Order: sequence, then C-alpha cells, then structure tokens
Amino acid sequence: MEHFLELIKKPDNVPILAILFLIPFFLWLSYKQARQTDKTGVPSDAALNDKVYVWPYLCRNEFICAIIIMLILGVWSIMIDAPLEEPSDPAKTPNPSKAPWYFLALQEMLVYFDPWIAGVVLPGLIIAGLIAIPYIDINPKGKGYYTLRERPFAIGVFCFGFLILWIVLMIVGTFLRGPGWNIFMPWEEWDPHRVVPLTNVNLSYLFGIRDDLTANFFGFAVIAGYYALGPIFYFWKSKRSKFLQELGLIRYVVVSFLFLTMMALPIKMILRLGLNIKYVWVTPWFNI
Amino acid sequence: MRSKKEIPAEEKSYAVLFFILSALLGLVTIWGFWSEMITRRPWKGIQQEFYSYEYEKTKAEYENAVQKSPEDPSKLNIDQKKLRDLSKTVTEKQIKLDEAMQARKFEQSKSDAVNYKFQHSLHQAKGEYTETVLKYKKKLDEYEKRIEGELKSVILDAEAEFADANKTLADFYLNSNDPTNALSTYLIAQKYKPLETEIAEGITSAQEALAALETVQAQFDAKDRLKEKLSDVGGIKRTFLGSLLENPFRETRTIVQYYLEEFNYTADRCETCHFAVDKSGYESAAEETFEVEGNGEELVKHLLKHPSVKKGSESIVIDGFEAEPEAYELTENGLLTFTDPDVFGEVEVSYETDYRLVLQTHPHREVLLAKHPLEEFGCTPCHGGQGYGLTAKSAHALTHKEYWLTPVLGMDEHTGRTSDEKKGYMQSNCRRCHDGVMKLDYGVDPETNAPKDYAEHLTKGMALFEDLGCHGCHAVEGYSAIDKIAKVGPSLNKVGSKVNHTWLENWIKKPEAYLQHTTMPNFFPVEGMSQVVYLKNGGQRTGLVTETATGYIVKADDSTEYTYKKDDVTLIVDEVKSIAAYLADMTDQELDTLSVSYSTSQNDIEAGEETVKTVGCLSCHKIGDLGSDFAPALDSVGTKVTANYLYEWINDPKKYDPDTSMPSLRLSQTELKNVVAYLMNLKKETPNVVSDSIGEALVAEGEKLVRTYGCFGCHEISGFENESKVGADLGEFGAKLADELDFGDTVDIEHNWHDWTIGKITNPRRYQTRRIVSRMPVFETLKNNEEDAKAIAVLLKSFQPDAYPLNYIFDHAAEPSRVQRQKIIDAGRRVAKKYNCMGCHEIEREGGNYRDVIIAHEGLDQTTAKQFAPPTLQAEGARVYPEWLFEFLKEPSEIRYGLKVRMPTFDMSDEEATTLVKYFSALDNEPFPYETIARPETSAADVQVGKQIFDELKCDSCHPSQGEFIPEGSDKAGRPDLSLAKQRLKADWLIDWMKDPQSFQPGTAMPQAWPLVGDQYMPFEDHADGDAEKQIRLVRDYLISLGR
Repeated sequence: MEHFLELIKKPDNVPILAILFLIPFFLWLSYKQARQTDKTGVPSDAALNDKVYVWPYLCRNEFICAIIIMLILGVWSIMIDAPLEEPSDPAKTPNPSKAPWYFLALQEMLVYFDPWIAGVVLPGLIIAGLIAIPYIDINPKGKGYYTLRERPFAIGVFCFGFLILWIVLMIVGTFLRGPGWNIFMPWEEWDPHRVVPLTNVNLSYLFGIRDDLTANFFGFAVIAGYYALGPIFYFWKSKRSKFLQELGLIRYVVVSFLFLTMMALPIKMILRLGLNIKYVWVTPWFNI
Repeated sequence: MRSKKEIPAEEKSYAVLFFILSALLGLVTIWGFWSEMITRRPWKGIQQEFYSYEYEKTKAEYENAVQKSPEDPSKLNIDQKKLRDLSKTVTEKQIKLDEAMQARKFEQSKSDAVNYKFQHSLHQAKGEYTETVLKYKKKLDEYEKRIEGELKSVILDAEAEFADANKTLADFYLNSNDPTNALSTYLIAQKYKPLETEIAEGITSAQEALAALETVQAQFDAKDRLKEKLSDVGGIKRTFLGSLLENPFRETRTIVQYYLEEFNYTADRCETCHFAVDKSGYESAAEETFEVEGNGEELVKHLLKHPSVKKGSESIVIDGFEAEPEAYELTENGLLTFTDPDVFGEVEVSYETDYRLVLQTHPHREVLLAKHPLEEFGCTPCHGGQGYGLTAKSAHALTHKEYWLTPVLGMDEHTGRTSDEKKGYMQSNCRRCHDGVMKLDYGVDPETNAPKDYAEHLTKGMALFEDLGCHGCHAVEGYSAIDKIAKVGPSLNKVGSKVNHTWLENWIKKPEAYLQHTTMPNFFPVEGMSQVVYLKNGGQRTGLVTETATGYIVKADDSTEYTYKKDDVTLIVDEVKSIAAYLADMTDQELDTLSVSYSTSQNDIEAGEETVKTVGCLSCHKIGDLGSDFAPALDSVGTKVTANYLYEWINDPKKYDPDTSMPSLRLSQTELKNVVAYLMNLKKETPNVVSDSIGEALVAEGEKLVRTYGCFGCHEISGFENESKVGADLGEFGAKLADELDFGDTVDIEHNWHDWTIGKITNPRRYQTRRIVSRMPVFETLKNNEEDAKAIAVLLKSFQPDAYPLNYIFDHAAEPSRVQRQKIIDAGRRVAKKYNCMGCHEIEREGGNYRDVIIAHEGLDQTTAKQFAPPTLQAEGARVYPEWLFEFLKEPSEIRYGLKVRMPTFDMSDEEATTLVKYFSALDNEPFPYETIARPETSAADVQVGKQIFDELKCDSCHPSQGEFIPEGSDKAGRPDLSLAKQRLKADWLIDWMKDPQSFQPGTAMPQAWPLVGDQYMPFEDHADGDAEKQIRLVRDYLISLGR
C-alpha cells in the first residue's frame, strides 16, 4: 500500500489522478442536466434562442477561467517538477516501460492483440470511426441541451467505448500494471521477479484441434461468424425496426462493423482472463 | 431577492472575484520568481556561506598582517632643506663639469679644424714641410697640448667634485632611509670615481638597505592586497542580496560547469555547490605557526586562518611545550585568546576545521587534482553520479535508483551522505584508467616525495582477487591484469604420487580442517552434502544420504528430506571420493619408483628442524607461529605428502613442477635427509570427514565433477587445458542493478548491489535456492571478513560496461617514458611477488619480515637480527650493476659470509631475471641498460693511499675478506665481501654510499666516516692533501682494485 501511495504521488500521475475526479464530476453534471431535460421536456425554441453578446459577457467569463487555469498551472509548475529521468540507454530499458498516460489504453490493448492490430488497425479504426460519426448518426435530436432519452444508443456507445475502454484501461495501465506488465493490486509491491504461469492456448487448441491448417480455418470461421452477427441481426430485425430502415444497409454495416470491433476488445479480454485464450485466429501473417 | 441564477448575464458583476483572482495570480507570480531564484538554487546559499568564510579568513589575515606590519616604508622622513642644498650643490657641480666638458669639446673641434688645415697644406706641398705646414703643425701641437693638459685637469677636477657632491647626497639619502635614490646616486658617483672604496661600500649598504626595504614593502603590499580582497569579498558577495543577483561577471553567484564531451557529453556542475573543492584553504585539518608577544597588560589575541574550528580538536604548543587547556580560549570562529597577558614565543597550533563537507577542499588536492585537472576530468568520471542532474539529489544519482546504477561512489543511498562503509568505492573508478597494475602508486606523498598509493582499498581488492584466484573461474572483460597472473593452485598432474589418498579426500571435502588460512575454497560447505543419488527415472538428488530398512533418505541442504525406495535408486555416488579417485589416478611413474625412507631418530629430526628454521624455509612457509603465510603451513605436512615426493620436491622443485615458484635451497644430502625426516614426522591427527559417506567413488564421475566445479581454474590438470572458465563473466558486474541480482531466499539482505555483493563474497552459497544451484565455493578467509569482502567489492564495482575514452587511459595518455617506467615496475612487482622476494628482503619499504623469524628462533634483538637477516634491497638499483644482479639472480653466490639463511636458487627464466633487474633500476630511476664509462686508471701510489685510509678506518673490522671463515657472533657476519665491489657495485654509487649511508638505508650499521659539516665533508686526517672527496675516491679505487 505504501508503494501504491508512492505511485500516486509521482508527478507523472498528476493528470491521471485529476481524471479520477474530473471525469466522474462531469459525468454526474451532464447526467444531472440530462435527467432534468428528460423530466421537464426539451427546451422551447425561444429558450434555446435567448442569447447574449460574446463581448463582453462571454469573454469576461473566459478571461476569469484563463486566470484560474494560470493559477492552477502556476502553482502546479512551482510545486511539482517535470519528471525528467536519467539519459536514456537502449541497453537498459525501464521495467515496466510505460507509454505516456494518454496512450496507456492503447498499450493495454497490446496485451490482447498483435502489435500491428492493437497498434495500427484498432487505433486507425478509432479515428476512422470518429470521422464517420457525422455520416452515420442520423438522429437530429439533442442539439443545445443534454438528454439521455433521445440518444440512448449514441450515449451508451460513447460511455462504454470512452469511459470503460479508454479511461478505465488508462487507469489500470497507470496504477495496476507493474514490472513485466503484470497486474499488481494496490496492496502488492511491484516485484520485478514475479513469475506468472504461462498457460495460454489458442482457441482452436481448446477445441481439440491440433492441425495447423484446420486451426487456421477454424479461426477464420469464428471471426467471420462474429462479424456476420451484424448482417444477421439486420435481416432479422429490419422488417420491424423503423430506425434500421432509416439507417439503411450501408450505414448499418459500417456501424455494426465498428461496434463489433469495439466489442471485440472486451470479448478478447474475457477470453484471455477467463479462459486463458491466446489467439482466436492464428495465421502466418497475423493473429487475432 | 433574485437567486443568482435568475440574474441575467448582462447584470452580473465579477469584480470581487476578478480582484481576488488577480491578487492571487500576482502572488503566485512572485512566488514563482522566488522559487526560481532562491528555492531552486540552494547552491546560492552555499556560495554565500563560502564568501562569508572567505571574508572572515581575509579579515583574520588582514588583522594579523596589520598587527605585525611596520610603518609604511614609502613614507619618508627627509630633511627637505638639506636635500635641497645638497641637490643644489650637485647641480652646480654638474654645470661645472658640463662647462669643462664643453670647453674641451670646443677646443677639440678647433684642433680638428687645424688638423685639417695642416694635412691639407702638407698635401699641397707634396709632403714637404714648408713654412705654412710648420705653422699649422705648431698650432696643432699647441691645441693638443692644451686639451691633454690644462683642459683635462679641469675636467678631472670637476668630475671629482661632482662625484663627491653625489656621494654626499647619496650618503644623505641612505641615512634618510631612501636606499633607492641612494643607490642610483652612488652609481653616478661611482661612474666618476670608480676606485673609491667608500662609494663601493655605500653601494653595498644601499643594496642591502634596498633588499630589506623590499621585504618590508612586500609585506606592506601584501597587506594592501588583503585590504583590497577584503573589500572585494566583503561586499554584496557575502550577503543575501548577492543571491538575488546571479552575475558571472561580478562573480556574485555562479554555476560552475565542466563540459566533458568525451564522457557522453556530461556537464558536471558539482563545483557549484562544492565550491571550495579546487580552492586551497578549506582543508579538514590545519596547522599554523606564529609568534606572540604579550605586553603584560592586554590579553593576546590571534585569529586563526580558519574561521571554523572544531572545538576540542586543537593542540597548541608554545615554544615546544603543550599548552594547558586553561592557558587559552578558542572560539568556534577561530579566535584564540591567551589567558596569560605575558605569553611569549612561537605558537604551533594544529586543529580540525569544521567546514561543512560540501565546502571542503578536495582531499589531497595538491596531488589528485593536479594530476586530474577539473577542466579535463570533471567530477563524475571519478566519482560517479550523473553530471546531467539539475538538483543535488539527481546529480548524486539518488533518484531513479532502479535505473541509475551509480549513486555518487561512497555515498550511502539511504542517508545521502558519504559513509565509511562505502567510502572505498570512491577508488573503484581509478582502475578504469589505471588498469592492469598491481598498485596505483602514481601519485606522490607531498611530504616525503615518495610514491604513494591513494587507492589502497582498490589495491587491496586487486591483490585479493589475484591471490584467491577469482580469475580461475571468472573472466573479466576489460580487466587486463588477469592476463598477467597464473593459476593460483599447484599443478595436479602428479598429485596421485604426491599426497596420501585419505588426506586428499579430506582436503577436498574440508580444506580448512588441514590448513586454517588456506586459499583453497570449500566446495562442500554444508556438512556431508556431497552425495548424489541417481534415480531410475533419470532424476538425481544431492544431499546427505542415510540408509533405512526400505530405502534411502536424502536430506538436501535446505533440510528437506526426500525418501526413495531402494528399487528406485540405481546408484549413490560420493562427489568428494569420486574427485579424489579421479585425481589419485594422476601419478608419476618416476616418483613412485623412488623408495625414500625417512629417519625417525630424534637427532636427525632435530637437525632437520634446525635447518628448516634457519635456512630460509620460513620466509614462505609457517610452522607453528613462526614464518609466513605465503606458502602452505607445514604443521602436519607429514600426514599430507609421501616421503618420495617430499625428498624430490625439496631437492629439485622444478623437476616435479616446472612452473613452481618454490626455489632450491641447495641443501646437502645430509641436510635434505634430516629435513625430510623432520617434516615427515610433523603429523597431526585431524578427524576424517569423509568416512561416514555411503556413496561410491567413481573415477568417471570424478572427471565430470572436476569439470562442473572448475577445479582446473586454479590447478593445472591434464585433459582440461581447453576448458572455459566455469564462473560468470564479471566484465559488467559493477553495473548490475539490484533487480538483476538474485537474492534467493534471503530475507536479511537489503536489495542493493553492495549488500548482495558482500553477501556473495562472504558466503557464496547464500543465494542458493531449491531451483537455482550455486557451485561457487566458500572461501574460508572471507567468511566473516567484511573488510576483505569490501575491498573485493571495490574492485568489482570498477567492472563497468563502458570503457573510458582512450586519451584518459593512463597507458595511452601519459608520457611514454612514465608509462614505460610504470610497466617495468609493475612487471617487476609481479615477479617479486611470485617468488616472494619480500619474504626475506625489504623492497619498496615493504617486507623483510624474515627478521622476525630470526628474532624468535635465535632469540636475538632487533639490531643483531638485522645483521643476520637477508639484506634490504632499498636502493638496490642504484647500488649494483644490472649484469651482476642478473647473474646473481640466476645463480646466487655468497656475498655475505656467516649467515645461516641462504639466497635460494629460483631457477628463474632469463626473462624473469631481466624483469627484476629492470624493476630495480626503474625504482631508483637508474638507466637500463647501464652504461659504464671508462674511468682513468688510478696510479698504484694512489691506490696505496686508498688502502691506507681503508686500513686506518678499520673497514675490515666489519667487512670480511674473500672466503674468510666467520666465527659465530662475529661482527663480520652478514657484511658484504668488498672484494666483490668491482663487479657488483656501481662505482659512482660507492662514493655516494660512503658519503652518506643513511640516506640510502636508514638505520644501516655502516658508519659515516666523513661527517658532513655544512656542505663540506670533513676529511679523515690529512691523507690525500686533506681533501675528503679525494679520500673517498681513493678508497673507492682501492676497493675496485681488489676486484675479482
């Protein structure tokens, strides 16, 4: 525990410590306002159109905010030194070697996927997905006010994807990942000599498949089957769902692909942590 | 009232908030500046402290100078009126002289004109002396006569008067205490009266006065300079205001930085805080001497040079008498007050200063920093730490312990202070430039000017590393000394014929049982753990095996017991017995066929004992308390070796082992037999430690074990010549992080490099676990010996991965002649160590302990024992001819008669003998090869004079003649035979030696026949015209004429 307190005090971890409080606060704030809106109904156009001038009414608020930020940054920079370390030495890398805090979720993904999938494909898809949002989000509601009821899917995906898969992984990466990238609970000391059993197997091995080629096909089938869930759901539901019909097949395919890819991460985490599955699909070129 | 939310934005006022925030921002800004200039620059405070010390020191110096300073000598008290009068006279005389000179000049000019007319007319008259010619001639004669006569005497008179006037003036100047003007005036006077003695005397006294004045003036100027310095350091520098101003040009507060491009672009800023490190005057201890003179009324006060004194550390001596603590009072800032107002005399004070460590001058600065100037070497290459660091903590590399390996060497990482425990590590890095030598005596002792080793811990570590044979198992990349050292153990190629089998088994099992201080380590430190059980399933288990009705129980060294059924066990092997069995097969046919029997008669044994204890065996071996630990003690050698071997070995060691350093002492057959009888009867029963093992002895298994344990690392064993070392390469060991070291199951050892290493050295099996087997043996002499372990750790710390830049490495960077000399000396030291020359002789002020054996055995006192002991070899290089020394080392001959101890025949190679000869030459800075210059033959008569002096000085009462029999107790015992002088002793050295024997060998019995008085040697009576130098030379020539 002493060690954990030491870790919390590290200058590198100040932002992540701030996040621990700031994110719940803003989450609570927005939830509170959304609940309010949902209870009292969407504000009228008149209310939405009640405006004041930028200068001076907005600017002075911003100016005061700027002073507060400067105060905080000033005190922070006086109190806490930049965590400079010794000159780097390629022959002596620190253990654990951690990315900056804002990349720790990406680094966390490396535990579960191949480097090029976790490091290239998935981050690429995150960006592509963010770019695609204006084109796939056809829900016009929720502009200028907070609401939960009018955008449950969008907000749900955001909360899961950002809060769980990004922020939580970041916190795990900061505070719980120790030497050898092993998980250390706060009360445990970071021991570089810790040994963990290495008993992971591929999914095909679990199913009794020992032949490489068969295993390859098996893996392909599982992955293909997983992504096929999207279209299947569409054809099963679209007759009855007005929303799906409005969305259209192409948009739906994009959304379902992105959504399933996002969900692949927690699924892989469960498989790895619960069943010691190393890879689902092993090919000579990449592993998933 | 409207609630806050209801007020429209246009009507809200943020004035109060804005004001508070602005005020806070202002405060934070000021705080930022303060933090930047003061808090984050703690070195400013240290420099302020330095300057206030500097001010106090200067003030003390200034005040002491003022107290004893005379009046300003430039202030003159001259009778101005008299000076004016005298000057006026001089001027008048000058005018008179000038006029006289001018008169002569004009006259001369006129005479030149007449001369012209005379010659011209003579020309025109074609050489005839016509009337006109004669007229001119007459006129010319008149002129010349006047110039030479009357005018000249006028000038001479004027000159004399002028000189006198000047002399009077000069006398006046001299009396008025103005020697400068006096001297110049005297010199003018002397120009015109060069022969006058009074003037010459005046000049001398003026010069003396001037010299005296200059001394006073110098004192006075020094005082002035002190005053200037006082105002310099007394101003802003020692105040807090100086800390606000950071100005390198006014030197208020400065960052001192050494940029070392070749050391990874390090920028060492250590001196910013360690501000006095390269400045003298901040030493940890000081001595000063001054005069006091009390006037009987006021108390006498004196400010010591250091304004920071550790109270109680002082010792005050007044005119040779230790002062009582009541006699004075000393404050912490160095004010010494004598309680006796009449105190008088010369005071010597020595005390320790109380400067903080950070403000102290570098220890041995005048040697260490002179050889390693900060501009070139910075700080971190020697001290470790990181030069890049921006705070004291990071510069000392106390942050990021897990990655940064070297906190400043010698520093305790918990306290952040230098600790005695770890101080030795400061010497580790010395080896990284001064590699491959036995001793780092590159520096000199400033007091004696003799070479001094400033890295004793490291030297000790290197010696232990070599002596214990660490190199047998461990390679060390980058440690070049390793290539120069041989295996430490004896060859085992004939060991089967050498030792008795039971002894061998016991020895392997527990060497310290036979030899307490042996360097042979114990491979089986846990009692009985030497059996291996081989199981049917292919597994094996090592431990202590006991047999039960149904099977076996194996007790492993962590006390776990494993039970096996008889059916499951295929074989039980005893490791010790197997190794012994394998080695015992290595026999020597020739040795086995000898059948030496040894006498058990008391007489023979006693005769043998006397030989062993007098002839020199004990210079290396030990029996009882007598002797040295260089070679194995012989206390129970009779239980160890076979008589065949012992006889052969003593008779001709090289025959048994060509590489041994055991010499032959040229014993006669009788002596040899008695010695064998004595030694073979030295038996001591030791408990048999292998008898209860139920394991079998298997030769094949023995061979495997020799390979596993790496016996061949220290011993030569045929068949194992090409094996590689069994231990880990230690080339980068010093850089290991705690995380890279395996602490095993230990709980009492802190996880850091130092504790791991000390733990490993003192008990190498300490970190063994159930999974990780350690085969490193336990060294008896290192058990519970943290001192030695620390010294070894100092060396180990120097094994670092990055090599230092070539132009810092001594062998590359120093002048080739110095490098060459050091190499010769190092090579010589190694040979001298190999043959244990220091066991008998004193070399480089070390060794010569054989004298103690003589004292103990013969019951002699120090001085007499010295006579019967092997001679000291101090100044041997200056003394003897290299050719002679070479021959002597190869084939010793008698020089000193009547000694029981013998110079042994080492049978060393030509190369080794040459190395030793060069070594002795280099030690005394003698040239090698030595060129003898032919000296003129001395006439027979002169030689006769030399002989006469020699006889009258009774040199032969101590020095024997050739082959003379020396009765016991004679003064001549142990004195060199002088008839050997010609071929042995350097002719020039003989003279220096006779002049001053003590300077070569302090404490020598050789008397000084020509005592030195002043800088003259007193002659011995009136031989050779009473010329001492000549007398000495003639004695020398006589000695040489004795030559054979």
